[in-house]
Amino acid sequence: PSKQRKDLNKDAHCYSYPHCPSLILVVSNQINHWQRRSGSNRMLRYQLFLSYLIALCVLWSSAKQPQHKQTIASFLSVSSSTADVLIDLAPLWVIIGLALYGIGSIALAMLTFASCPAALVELENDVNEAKVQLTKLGIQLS
Amino acid sequence: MVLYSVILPTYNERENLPLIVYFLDKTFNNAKLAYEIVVVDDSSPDGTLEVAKSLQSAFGESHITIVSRKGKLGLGSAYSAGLAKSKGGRIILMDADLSHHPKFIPEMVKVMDQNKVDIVSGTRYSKGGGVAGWDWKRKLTSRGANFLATFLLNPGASDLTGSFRLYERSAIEKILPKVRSIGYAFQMEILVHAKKENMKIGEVPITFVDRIYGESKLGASEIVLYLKGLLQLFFTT
Repeated sequence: PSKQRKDLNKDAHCYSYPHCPSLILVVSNQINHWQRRSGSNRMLRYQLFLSYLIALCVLWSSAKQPQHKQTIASFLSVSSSTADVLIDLAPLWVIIGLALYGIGSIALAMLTFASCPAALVELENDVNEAKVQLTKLGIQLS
Repeated sequence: MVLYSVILPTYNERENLPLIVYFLDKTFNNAKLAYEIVVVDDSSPDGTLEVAKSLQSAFGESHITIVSRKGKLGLGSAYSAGLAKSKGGRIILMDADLSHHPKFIPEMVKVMDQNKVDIVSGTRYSKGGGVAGWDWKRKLTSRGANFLATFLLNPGASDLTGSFRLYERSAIEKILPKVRSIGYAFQMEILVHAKKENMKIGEVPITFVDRIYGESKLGASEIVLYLKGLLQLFFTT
């Protein structure tokens, strides 16, 4: 959080996006306020997500400016119409990206999620041994 | 020598309790570790308490302590009640239904000793771990739930809903009073609070065997409860 504060404060004095400083200052002040209210240096999880969301919205808002769209188009070596589609629909690309990340993560997790039928066999053998020993100790079993 | 306290909340575990106690006794004796088992029974109608008393006679009161509670009061309070009665410097929380095999306990102890961690969590998802008796739908539910919890909460462990863990007493005493969730979210909340307290968490791969006796507890209501608990943790931690 202290690093975030520093970066945000630094960005507040950075004039690459001249229309943004006031909005970034508002965001950083709000984050500082939340941290003071929570009584710790650590943001709550939803506050962290919210701060990322707000930062992304600020970036998107800035990218949508015509002069910045041209810069992005030339940086990516795409036409301005393609840059329009990429930038104007950026939230959709983010959602699609997150969904693909989620599906991919779960798919990989399923592939690596081991089945251990031998563990059941081993347990059943252990149970049979245990029943014999417990009966010797006088424990009544169902 | 460190005394290990195993807290076993029970509800209708008449068939499983003698077996898990036998496995625990065998494991701790083979590993030459001092242990006690605290059985916390919530007035099981199937006579689990009577079985616990006969086990106490057979294995000795120094090894088995019984906490009998009036009514089904929930897992969190069962752990708290067991913790209050326990004397060990390290606490093991696990299920009494044979889904967790005590044979992994010595490995957990080794990880705790060598890596100086506060909590060792048994994980089904790492290499060497796994499950037996789950179909692909159950596995998908488990993995999906775990992914969602990791994405939203990031508590620094691979298996967030697992309930087979070894704790330093100081760690669990600090965390348990803060936990408010019920159901599967209960286990997640423990790790979330552990991370907030900058506790170190180690992991040991375990195999989880679906219940061989008794009923498994995963229905739509459990899933809804889990999602509610997850959202609550997201907004409050």
